[in-house]
Amino acid sequence: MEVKSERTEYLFPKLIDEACKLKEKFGAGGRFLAGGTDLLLLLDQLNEKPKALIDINRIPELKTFTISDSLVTIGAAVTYNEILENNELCQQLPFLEKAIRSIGGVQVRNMATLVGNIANASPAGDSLPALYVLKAKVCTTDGTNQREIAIEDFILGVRKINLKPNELISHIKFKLPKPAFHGEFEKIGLRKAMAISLVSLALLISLDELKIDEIYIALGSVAPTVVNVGGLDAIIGKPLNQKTIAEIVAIAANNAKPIDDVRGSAEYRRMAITGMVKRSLNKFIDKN
Amino acid sequence: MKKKGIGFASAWQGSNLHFGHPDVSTVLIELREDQKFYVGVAAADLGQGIPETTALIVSRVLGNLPLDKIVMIDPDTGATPDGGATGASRQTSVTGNAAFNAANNMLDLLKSVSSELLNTSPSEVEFKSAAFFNQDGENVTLSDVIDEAKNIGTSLSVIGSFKAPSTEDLDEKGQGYGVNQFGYATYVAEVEVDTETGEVDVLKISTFVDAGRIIRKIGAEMQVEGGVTMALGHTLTEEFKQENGWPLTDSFTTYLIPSIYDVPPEISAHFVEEEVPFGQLGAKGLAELVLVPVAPAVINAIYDAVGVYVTSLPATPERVLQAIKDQTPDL
Amino acid sequence: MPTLKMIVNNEPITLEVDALRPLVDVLREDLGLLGTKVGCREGECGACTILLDGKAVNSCLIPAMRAHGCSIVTIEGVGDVDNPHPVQVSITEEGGVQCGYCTPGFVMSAVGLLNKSPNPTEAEVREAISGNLCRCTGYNRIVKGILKSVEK
Ligand SMILES: Cc1cc2nc3c(=O)[nH]c(=O)nc-3n(C[C@H](O)[C@H](O)[C@H](O)COP(=O)(O)OP(=O)(O)OC[C@H]3O[C@@H](n4cnc5c(N)ncnc54)[C@H](O)[C@@H]3O)c2cc1C
Ligand code: FES
Ligand code: FES
Repeated sequence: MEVKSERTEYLFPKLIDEACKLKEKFGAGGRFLAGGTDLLLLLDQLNEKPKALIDINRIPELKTFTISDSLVTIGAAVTYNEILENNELCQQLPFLEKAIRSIGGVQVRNMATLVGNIANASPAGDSLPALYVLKAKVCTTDGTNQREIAIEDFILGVRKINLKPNELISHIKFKLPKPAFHGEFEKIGLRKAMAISLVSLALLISLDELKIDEIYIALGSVAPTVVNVGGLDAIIGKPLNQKTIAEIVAIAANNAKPIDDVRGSAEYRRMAITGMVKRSLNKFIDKN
Repeated sequence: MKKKGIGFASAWQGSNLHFGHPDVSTVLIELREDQKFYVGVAAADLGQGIPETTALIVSRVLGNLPLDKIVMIDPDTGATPDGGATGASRQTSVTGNAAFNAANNMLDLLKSVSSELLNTSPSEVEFKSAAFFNQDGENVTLSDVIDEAKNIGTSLSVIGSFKAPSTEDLDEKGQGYGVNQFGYATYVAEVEVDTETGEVDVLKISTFVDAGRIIRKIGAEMQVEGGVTMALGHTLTEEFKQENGWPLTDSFTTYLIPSIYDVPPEISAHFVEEEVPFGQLGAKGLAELVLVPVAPAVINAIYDAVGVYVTSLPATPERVLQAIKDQTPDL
Repeated sequence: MPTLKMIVNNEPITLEVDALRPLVDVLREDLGLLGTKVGCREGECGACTILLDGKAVNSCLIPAMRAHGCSIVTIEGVGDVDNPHPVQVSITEEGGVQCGYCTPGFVMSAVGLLNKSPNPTEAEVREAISGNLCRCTGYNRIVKGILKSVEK
């Protein structure tokens, strides 16, 4: 029988480089802690006692949060509530604001980070569909070398990410969409606050003379990762009316491979996608 | 598309111990040196507010005595008389009447002691503003009465009991006087249903409740609102799932009680005060009754909105949508 | 064991702790601050809400050492029976307390909101307590109580 008597070291690096070296030193036994809102529950579930928790909250560089030349940069230690306090971002991207506001309660949002939502790689991560349609890039570092990876290439599966053992996600970045774009976020859960998504959706669309110019849809909780809906090219140039919406619904449904779980059936998820796609596009029509 | 609907439901529910179980409570009141009335009854408070209600009843009997003159002793069957179980929605009805009787016994005792000092008969004494008056307007204080009680060697301690009318077990045909009081309630639920996702928003619940005479209005309203909220959980979100005997919903993350956003900002409580014909209070039980009409009212409102009945609870988005699709397969 | 130094309700505290031990246990068991409640240990109910450097957080999700060098306020630092905080007074007056198990958490969430936004709208109050669960009250009276405490 294995006796786990070892105590966990708790470390507060001040520099990114230091954090990466610590991670390298402890290997799989070292865990980064940002908000800890996923990590602590995960350790409990796995009944795992890590050798070291590497708290990244006191690394000033990871607190970076800027919007300049329409490039948004959000560091790994920026909490959800810090993002929500940024009026410029919330005005520009109300759908991202809505997605973030749907996560947990205020207490969770005072600790949890957007980057943590990505690193956790759950298909039900509620910020992810919005980040997918915004084509966010995940920026990693091992202290020396940097990588920049599109979010859909970074998240590989349930809790599987494209991160090397000595790497840290330093920040994410994305371009603000042009003003012509309209975004929507929708989430269905089993209750109206503090609920894990049964299905979620983010949509980004722009029209040119009432015809669809660009459209991006991402769906959450319908496959092992968030799904970027493919095949929407077919409807570019078409007028946004109920007939086109029906086509978009069919394309979206085709992209989803939901499963049954404790919270709901695959069948329901498929039906709900239809409802959500229609609802979000009709909201856009109503606004026009 | 979102559709609105309105649903009604009525319910009745018996309270107090049923089917031949004697239903009794006893309350102790003591006037102590600090001129405060100490009230003791082992009637557990789960948050429903029985100590506040008991104190209010004692205060009213004792000439609207200020509530800071009444001290509720913590309930403890080892130190206070037994009020019986907090269940069957019975405490206000049974312990409330016992408190009423105890307070009247206290009043009689105090009148009798003070009448000596006021040179009058006990029935001529009036107790108001924490003092005792005779017909000529002369008065003595609580402290005078406490001193006099010591002089004559009388304890200023009383008990009062109440037993609700006896019930009986039902006969083999299910007939008999099994329950001594019923409360009645009619609710109106207003909902909005998304026809394509099955999501239900409860916009408003209006309640009309006959729980006899309402003793402490805020307490009764709190019971109604809390009961409605709990029942909304049963109706829409709370589901106990198990597999081979293992509970799957064993945490707050999986067994979902309503959050603030699941509760309508308006739950109104209207009371129809049809008094129960026994005891002195006229109060009936309220606690359990207030949950009962919620599910049928909401389910009827969903029917009014989208024309389908959901026949198993909770009415999750999945069940609502399934019912809609079953009705109109080509939707 | 590592040494944890923090300020709790304005008092400096030094303790030897297991780094991973949830802060709520340190507060309740080591410091005897039993006003902070435990409902779920998974961030879901808000009964364990405290202020960490002024912000409302779930103390069940905080490994003890994370609080090193931080300032913490628990319900005991907000007010008590003899000296209640206006939020405590108004929530009670409005009937927002039944069994009371959730109440310290709601008060802490409200105080966290008022730190940031002293004159909140009703919508802000509702959002601020949306991470707190209550089985007894139906929430609306808690909202009224918090709003009333601001009017005073
Ligand atoms: C009560 C409650 C409700 C919740 N509700 C929702 C919800 O509605 N929707 C939702 O999407 N999520 C929800 N969550 C999950 C959680 O809050 C989010 O996923 C959150 O964004 C995680 O961020 P964090 O900073 O807390 O991550 P942590 O727990 O600190 O980290 C998560 C994982 O990522 C790793 N990690 C963290 N930062 C980095 C980094 N910079 N580089 C490399 N690895 C890193 C950690 O080691 C860990 O494995 C909820 C959680 C709780 C407790
Ligand atoms: S005990 Fe911490 S949120 Fe429930
Ligand atoms: S008052 Fe009982 S849980 Fe809120």
